[in-house]
Amino acid sequence: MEDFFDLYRKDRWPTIFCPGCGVGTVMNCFYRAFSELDIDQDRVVFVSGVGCSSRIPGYIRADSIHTTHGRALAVATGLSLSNPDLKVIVFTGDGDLGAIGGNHFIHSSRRNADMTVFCINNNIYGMTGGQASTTTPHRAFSTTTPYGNMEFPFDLAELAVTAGANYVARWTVRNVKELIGSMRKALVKNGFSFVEVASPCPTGFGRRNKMGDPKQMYEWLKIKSVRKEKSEFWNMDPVDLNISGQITIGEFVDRNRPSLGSMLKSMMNNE
Amino acid sequence: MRLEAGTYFMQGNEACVEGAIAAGLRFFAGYPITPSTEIAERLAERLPEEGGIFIQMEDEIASISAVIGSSWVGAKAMTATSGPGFSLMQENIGYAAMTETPLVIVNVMRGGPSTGLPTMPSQGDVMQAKYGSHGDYEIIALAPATVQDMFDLTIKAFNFSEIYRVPAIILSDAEVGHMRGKFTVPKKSEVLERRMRTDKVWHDGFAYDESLVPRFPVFGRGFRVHVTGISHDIAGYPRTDPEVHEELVRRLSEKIIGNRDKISLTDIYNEDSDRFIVTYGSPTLAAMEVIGNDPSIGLLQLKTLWPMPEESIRHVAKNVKEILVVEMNMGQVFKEVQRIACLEGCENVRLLSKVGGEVHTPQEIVHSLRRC
Amino acid sequence: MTISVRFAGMGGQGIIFSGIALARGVSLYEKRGGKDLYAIQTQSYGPEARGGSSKCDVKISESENFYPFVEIPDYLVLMSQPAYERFIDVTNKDTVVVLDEDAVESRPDIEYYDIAATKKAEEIGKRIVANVVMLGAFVEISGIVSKKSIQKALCDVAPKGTESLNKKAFELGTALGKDAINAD
Repeated sequence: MEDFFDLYRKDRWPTIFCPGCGVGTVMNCFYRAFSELDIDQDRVVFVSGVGCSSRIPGYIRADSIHTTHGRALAVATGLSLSNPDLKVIVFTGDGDLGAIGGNHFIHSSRRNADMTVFCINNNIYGMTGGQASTTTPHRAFSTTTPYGNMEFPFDLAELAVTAGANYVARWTVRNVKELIGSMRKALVKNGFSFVEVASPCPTGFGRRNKMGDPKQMYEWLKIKSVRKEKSEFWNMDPVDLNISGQITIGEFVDRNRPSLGSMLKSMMNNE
Repeated sequence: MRLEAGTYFMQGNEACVEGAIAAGLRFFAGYPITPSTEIAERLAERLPEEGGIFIQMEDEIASISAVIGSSWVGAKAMTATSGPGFSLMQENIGYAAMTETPLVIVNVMRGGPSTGLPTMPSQGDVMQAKYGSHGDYEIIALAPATVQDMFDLTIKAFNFSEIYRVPAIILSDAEVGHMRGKFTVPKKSEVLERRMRTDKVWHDGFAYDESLVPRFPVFGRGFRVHVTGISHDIAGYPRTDPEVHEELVRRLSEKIIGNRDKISLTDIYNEDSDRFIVTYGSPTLAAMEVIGNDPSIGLLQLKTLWPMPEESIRHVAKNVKEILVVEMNMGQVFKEVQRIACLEGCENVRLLSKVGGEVHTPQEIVHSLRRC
Repeated sequence: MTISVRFAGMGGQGIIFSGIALARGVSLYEKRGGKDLYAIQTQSYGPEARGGSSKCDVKISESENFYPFVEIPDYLVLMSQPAYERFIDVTNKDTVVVLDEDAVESRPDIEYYDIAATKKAEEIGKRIVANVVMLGAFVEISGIVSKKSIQKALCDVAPKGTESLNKKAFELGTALGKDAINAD
């Protein structure tokens, strides 16, 4: 693949994404990772739910299905089971995956369903205009937390690890090189692979939290993120080991539990 | 192995499974719920034998989602549920209608609302089957009355779903699902397949001809089609223009309504009668007994509920003094029959309703007929 | 013409099994005047079917489509005292009652037959086949269906390895049924 537009649908440009949005960086990193691998573009299906990040498959020049809110992983499960030769890639966000689709996230991880999931976590519902999500930091402001978020956020990556995913990593959009590397690893992994990307939403999140300028949001991601190896887990409450307290980045798990598809295959072959 | 031609003794839910396998079912995703669970249990055993895939999902929302995914790689796919699960599936029924995804849903109806009567029959989901999701759309719904119907109509449901690219719903009920009886597997059942896209054009995945049904661009063959629940043009791309939305929504309805006569399955008994029973599903058997004892009464059995078989109802309404609609709800098909009969000047349409979780007895129908 | 049969007893007694064997035998193996017969088996589901009481109905007909639910049974086969209390009044003067004499204390004032089903089953070492003994007795007493058809159906539905046990229990039942008719 020579060109960015061999992967993306040029006829749908420009995209709907706001200035300063991290989705563009993720799309670029995905192009780098994907094009380095020898994957037949006609044998890939892109799946998404609803939200800003879920619009990515609509820009990709491949079979793609933009499903209902939260249901991407369940649709992807049916797809990959029915045609195990296809590579199934999901783009989703913190609202789609962590809230309305939370149950499917847990169970797809548990089943080790054959798919690669990229979650763009921008700590907010961007498409609907900046409401609090399950990853909005404690005390942060949004249109539905005008007095500050009284709740504590989810750690999506840790959730995937605990539930049984084969590969889990988290980076911010600043860690371009590492992100491309993890995307590449995730794409070739059997079973459930998950890469979370902490990404700025200056429009929906930044503006209400004194970070309206994209530069401020990138700075915030820089200050907040700590590499797993340097993280001082022992003196932190586990609920702070996420985007609200600190954004722990790195690879969290890389293992080879049998995938749902491989287990099904051995059952069918009476193994 | 698909069941060989012959006579079998099975539960209605089991006959449904065999019908689905005869129709070419390749994928089932479901969640346990009374009184449909036997369908999942039998398929868990039978589908792997057929080289098909069975999976139990985390809920009914996930079940219909997985079925949608499977259908887009070209598999004939199905789920089975009952009231509460059917309610959970509504959003994706609308999605399947909007994206023209063929799939079959078996709803073994039980008493509602809410948890209601989990083990007892009802016909309370007739309107929900048609109107349960938001927006204007059409689906196809069939109502089996016997174990034989459970086999036959399941095959029909797959055929309709594949041909019109629309969700087809089997509105069974706890009695038909659970009763055991004899049914016959014919030497050959008509099995239809969806029309596939064969050319490699990337920009008109939803282009349609005079049939109004786009050929199916199955995933994984290089069509590079985009599918979305958002209003879309023939490329499948999201569009918000009023004219694009109107063209799409009107076509989705017209491809079903325009074929109403082909989809309408009805049986008429004692055609010359001037008093008619109109019914469907479980109460049909009580009505059969009534007309068996009194040939002066006619019976119209609706095997198709959506689209409503208007022609058959008008035909019956033309020359009758009275129509009695018998159903296990507070009058859902009744209002449709009333509306349609009125077009033929027949205003004497009455309802024999029952909502206690029991099927009407023949005596109850006879008493109701006497009252007029 | 339809014939209605009701089996009732306690959960775990195999009441449903008996009904299925009867309906299957009639549906698949029984002919009348060279023509097929039809039978539908229905049962109660839900909490009442989880332990406690168990009920299973079979309706037999010469025509294909008939009202499959039993209102007043022509034959009532009872295997527990609570089942007796619950169903004995859902009968008419022509209803024939067949009861397991060890499991039911009361006796009705309509025609009935005592069958020592549980005792016989225990004698052959398997109390669990008392239901099949009752089925055999019912087939003999009612005479509505051939023993051969029901035995064939029993073989279809019996768990693997229990076919001969079920056959034996059925034959014991028909013998008890014959004795009961002669004693009458």
